[in-house]
Amino acid sequence: MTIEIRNISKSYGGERILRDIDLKINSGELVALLGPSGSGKTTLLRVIAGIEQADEGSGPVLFDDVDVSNVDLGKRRIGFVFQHYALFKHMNVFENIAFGLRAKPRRERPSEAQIREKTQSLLDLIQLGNLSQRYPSQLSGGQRQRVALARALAVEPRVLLLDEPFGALDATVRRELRRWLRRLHDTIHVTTIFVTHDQEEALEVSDRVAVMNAGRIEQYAPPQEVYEKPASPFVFKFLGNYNLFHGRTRGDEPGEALVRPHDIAIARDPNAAGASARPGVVTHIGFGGAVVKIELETEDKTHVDVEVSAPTFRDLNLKRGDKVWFALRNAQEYVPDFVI
Amino acid sequence: MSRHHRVIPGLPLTLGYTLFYLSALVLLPLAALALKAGQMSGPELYRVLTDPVVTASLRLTFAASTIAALVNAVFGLIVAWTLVRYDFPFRRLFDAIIDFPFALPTAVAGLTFANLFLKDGWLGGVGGHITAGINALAHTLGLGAPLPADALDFLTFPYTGQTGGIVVVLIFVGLPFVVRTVQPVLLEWDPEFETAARSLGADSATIFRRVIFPEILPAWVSGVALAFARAVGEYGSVIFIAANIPGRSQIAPLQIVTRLDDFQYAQAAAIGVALLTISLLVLLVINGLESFSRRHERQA
Repeated sequence: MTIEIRNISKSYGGERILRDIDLKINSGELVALLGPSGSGKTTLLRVIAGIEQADEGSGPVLFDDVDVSNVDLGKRRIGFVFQHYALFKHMNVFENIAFGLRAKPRRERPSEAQIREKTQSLLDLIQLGNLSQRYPSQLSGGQRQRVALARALAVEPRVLLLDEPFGALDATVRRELRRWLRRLHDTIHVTTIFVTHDQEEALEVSDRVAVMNAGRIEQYAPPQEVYEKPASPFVFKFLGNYNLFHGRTRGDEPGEALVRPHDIAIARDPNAAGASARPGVVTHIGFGGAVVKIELETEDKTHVDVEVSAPTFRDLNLKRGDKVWFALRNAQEYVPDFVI
Repeated sequence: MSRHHRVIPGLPLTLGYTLFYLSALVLLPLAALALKAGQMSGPELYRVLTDPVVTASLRLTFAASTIAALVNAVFGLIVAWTLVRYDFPFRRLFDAIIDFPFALPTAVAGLTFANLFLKDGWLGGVGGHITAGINALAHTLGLGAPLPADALDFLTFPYTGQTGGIVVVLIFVGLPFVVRTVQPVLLEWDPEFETAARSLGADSATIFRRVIFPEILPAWVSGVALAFARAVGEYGSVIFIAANIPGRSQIAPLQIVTRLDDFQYAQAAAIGVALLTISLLVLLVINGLESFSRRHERQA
């Protein structure tokens, strides 16, 4: 199912959370809403779900080109997975998943046998078939997450909406679960939107990323494009570590250049570093396994973070206090946006 | 579990204190009561407890208490729900009024209710008042008295002196229990659960029945149990409103007082033990219900 929202705004008590948002999501796509807290991403998700209403004067929310802005949450046929799962504590896993099926009006409700079969197949899908009689308090975070997902899928939603789906889990489980979510999405192909503040998560899992800031979408593009061609300094800064160089643009306007630490070449020999190489002194070396983080200080006391691969670092054989040359390989230049 | 996370140190001390406290305040007096009742011979005890006046009083006490507790169960839940879920003028005032039955000496409550519901009280004589008013009006218009004095007596509240009156005051004294046990649970309730149920297509009735009610059930059950226990022991307010006719409208606590007035201490103790035993059984059943409704809170 395609989703299209036009000109959506939302305010709480005079504070504008969403500002004229437009977004179009293709059928079967997996989209991440990425942004810092307070950027409006969860509110946007809740407006799409129908949990929150957009302000008066906002445009429509279209599901398959049909305006659903006035359709009640329960009738939109969406599957919503809450940040803290909102599993019903007094129901076991099986009953939680079967809830949506049992809650249907009598004439639409499947038979008990069908409910059991459907719930069992979902339990198999989330690989928790053996824990169907457990209560939510007896499950781990990752298991609860999967139960919440199965519960949302039971009613065969047209769109799956996930609010910080992995936010409350530890790093290992997060990584495992997001790959599982991607595989699951590739199996069932339901249009999916998920909210996250973790850029790695958004880039790894989604087909397209909408980077949000202060109630606006700054960029909406596939992960590679968002990472390699950030549309604004905000996107650049939000997506990873960076070095900021103040200078003048070609048109001699004051500007800034942003460079990823791994986009800086470093060498002991000025000619090997590349064109317009500058000198610096190594002030700190941080070993991070495959990547080594080197801090440099330039002559004008600017700190520069550089990341090199472990083999490169071995070849360089650097120590603190060594003098090196560095060159920017891939700098993004932005004329600062003075409008706030 | 709690053994690994002691907030207050010195388990032997606190445990010892708890046991001493409970023994001194609850177990010892109860044992004394049972001992007192035990002074009677078996047949004598049997005769006291099967005395129609005594059995009638026990029946009345438990029947009236049960009805009062059930009424409070329903309306207490509604009151708690309304106070938590809705905002209306003077909500805080109404919230404070809930505790009134706790604060008011029950004898005063009984007196107030009795005055209201007596034959010539505001509510007790409402039919008579209306008849008298109409007749007086007709009289001044020179129409004589068109209505017989008892024409509207069916409107008169038949509370005073009967079981109805006893139930009313027991509802009054038990009111705060259900409200005050359910209220905190509703206050802490995360509306996200309701949103989740709604997103899964559940209607309001289903959400209440399957999502909210099971969550407040344990608190609700214990509130009802407290209201029931309170009603069983209630004395002060009831004796003012009941006609207190032996065998018909005398509650068990009044029977005990009557026996004490006759210096029949052992008999009084025996009725007390009977009252206690039945109450205990009822509370055990309610407790069982409560822990059943909490079964999901058990950890693996």
